Amino acid sequence: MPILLHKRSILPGFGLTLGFTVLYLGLLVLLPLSALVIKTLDMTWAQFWSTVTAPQVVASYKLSFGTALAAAAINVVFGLLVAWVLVRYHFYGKRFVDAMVDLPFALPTAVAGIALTSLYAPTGWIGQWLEPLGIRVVFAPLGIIVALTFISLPFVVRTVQPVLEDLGKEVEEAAASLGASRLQIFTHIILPELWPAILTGFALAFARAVGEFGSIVFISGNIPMKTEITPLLIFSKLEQFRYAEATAIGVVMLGASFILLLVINFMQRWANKRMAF
Amino acid sequence: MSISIRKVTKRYKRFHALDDISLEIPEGQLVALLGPSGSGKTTLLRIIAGLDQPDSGSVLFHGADAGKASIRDRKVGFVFQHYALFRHMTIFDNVAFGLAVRPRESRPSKADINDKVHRLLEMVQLDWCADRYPHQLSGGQRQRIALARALAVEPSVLLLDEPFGALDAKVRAELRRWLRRLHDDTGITSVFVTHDQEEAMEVSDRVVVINNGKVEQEGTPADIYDHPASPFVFQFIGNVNLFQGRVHQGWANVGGVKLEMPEHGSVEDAPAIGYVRPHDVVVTRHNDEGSLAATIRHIHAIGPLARVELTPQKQSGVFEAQMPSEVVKSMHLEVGETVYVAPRKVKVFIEPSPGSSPPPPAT
Repeated sequence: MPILLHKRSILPGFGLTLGFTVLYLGLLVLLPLSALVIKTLDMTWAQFWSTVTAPQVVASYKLSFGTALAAAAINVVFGLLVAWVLVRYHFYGKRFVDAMVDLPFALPTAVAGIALTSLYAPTGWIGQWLEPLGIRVVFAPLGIIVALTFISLPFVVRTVQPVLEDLGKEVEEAAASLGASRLQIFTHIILPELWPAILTGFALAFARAVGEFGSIVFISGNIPMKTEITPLLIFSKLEQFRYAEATAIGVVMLGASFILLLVINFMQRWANKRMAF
Repeated sequence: MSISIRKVTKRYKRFHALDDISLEIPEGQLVALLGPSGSGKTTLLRIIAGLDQPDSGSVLFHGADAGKASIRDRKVGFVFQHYALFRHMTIFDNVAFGLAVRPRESRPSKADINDKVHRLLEMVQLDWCADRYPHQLSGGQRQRIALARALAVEPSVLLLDEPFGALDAKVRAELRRWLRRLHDDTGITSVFVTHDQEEAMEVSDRVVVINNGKVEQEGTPADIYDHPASPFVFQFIGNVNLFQGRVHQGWANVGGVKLEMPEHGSVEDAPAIGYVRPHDVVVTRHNDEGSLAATIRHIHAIGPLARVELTPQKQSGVFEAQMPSEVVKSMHLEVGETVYVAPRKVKVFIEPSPGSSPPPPAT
């Protein structure tokens, strides 16, 4: 590394900015995460293993990761649609729709959770129509997916939008001149160009959803083994002053998320490599 | 397939991109649409392709109205200035695309597609890069792939939009000759758009000069060079010297030279401009009647042809004379010396009176 550091670059300030970046990330990300691991080390391996594999905990992993993946997948489809509409068409109120996409970011998640709960409750505006059909949203995994889809909506839209804007219409015209139908142009020409951006959006949406807490506590009902997400389980462990157990579960969640994001990253790199100029 | 363009008009807001254009493109010819940027030539090409629709008028393929048929149904090959290759596909897949997207019943077998793509790649001399991606190729190679891709679907018309515009001069000259040979081999009716007069002159069978959304002149390259129909064409094709003068009752007085102009017999004392090609400017040392005294400003004598820059002593401006380098040497012409200049061949256009259309821009 010293060779790299001392190499004269046309851009000044490499040492300063890199030093600051390392310090910043160390304080903000690495320090809390290592505290998490250190706290977990208080336990013996047997204690650790029995905590993180308890049936209630395993059920919560499945729910947390399952609903987060489902919400991210839903947002890939509909986020792509929203981005498409915002880029390809000109209509009255487009600016307004564009601004609306970011609202789930700005709203406190607890407010979102309460609003969604009252809407989807059996007596709510939407819930009263779903209840007779046998569709239960509130206090069910479906409700968690609804809340997670809401809070992670902007990610896919905002990652796909600029790429779609840059996509030249010439390649589409070329494909049309070669006899491709609209559907073929979309699947063979446009979609492959968007994959890296879609994967990025998916990864961000998933990462955001898997750690979500505020909006879900209201809509899920927190029934152990059924609608209890992992972050909530950690929270209840903390309330019972079982700190080591809470951090142990946190470590498992961190590890799983890290592996998933790494896999998405590799997929993205693979998609990107074929896209290079 | 022959193409007829009938009274095509296209506007963008208040700007007339094409103004009542009619044009015949005979079967099997290579035709250049030549004009400055913004003249409407690309718009015309896109309308022929079906990528844009005219406001009024029609495009006929082989006598049949193409109507509102989209580009997908017109069987035209289109080559873009910036290649428009599919960058996530290999070169092979790019060329095979037009065949692979056909409906099942008319799609050739895998082996047939394979054969055809390799034949096309051989034709553009790029068979070795079938498995590469577009970003691994140079600009000239990409454009040849774009051509192979367009030819794969056996179009009845090939349309090229500034196909060599993004390439450097040497590659451009090479591809130009290559396109000409390709056209001679395939015989496919081709139209290409260019702003480079040299390119149009060298490659095409016919040249259509377009300016301000109108056809200024059409004809063979030699025709257009030797007999420009308007001041615009004169200035746009090749270099030219302008001599201020007047026309009066069938006689023009341009730069001190008197010329008979029977076609302007009824004109009473109108301002006119004489257009003289640099190779029609004769430089001598003796002061004949009708010669202009001028000072040599500069001599560029690189290669067989020399360019001599002159400033006339009684007029403003700079003239350019072109002559074999040997003449410059044998006459011992030197910078700063006074010589006499006479046009060998002049074409006089009467200047439009103020209020009518503006004079063509200088090139």
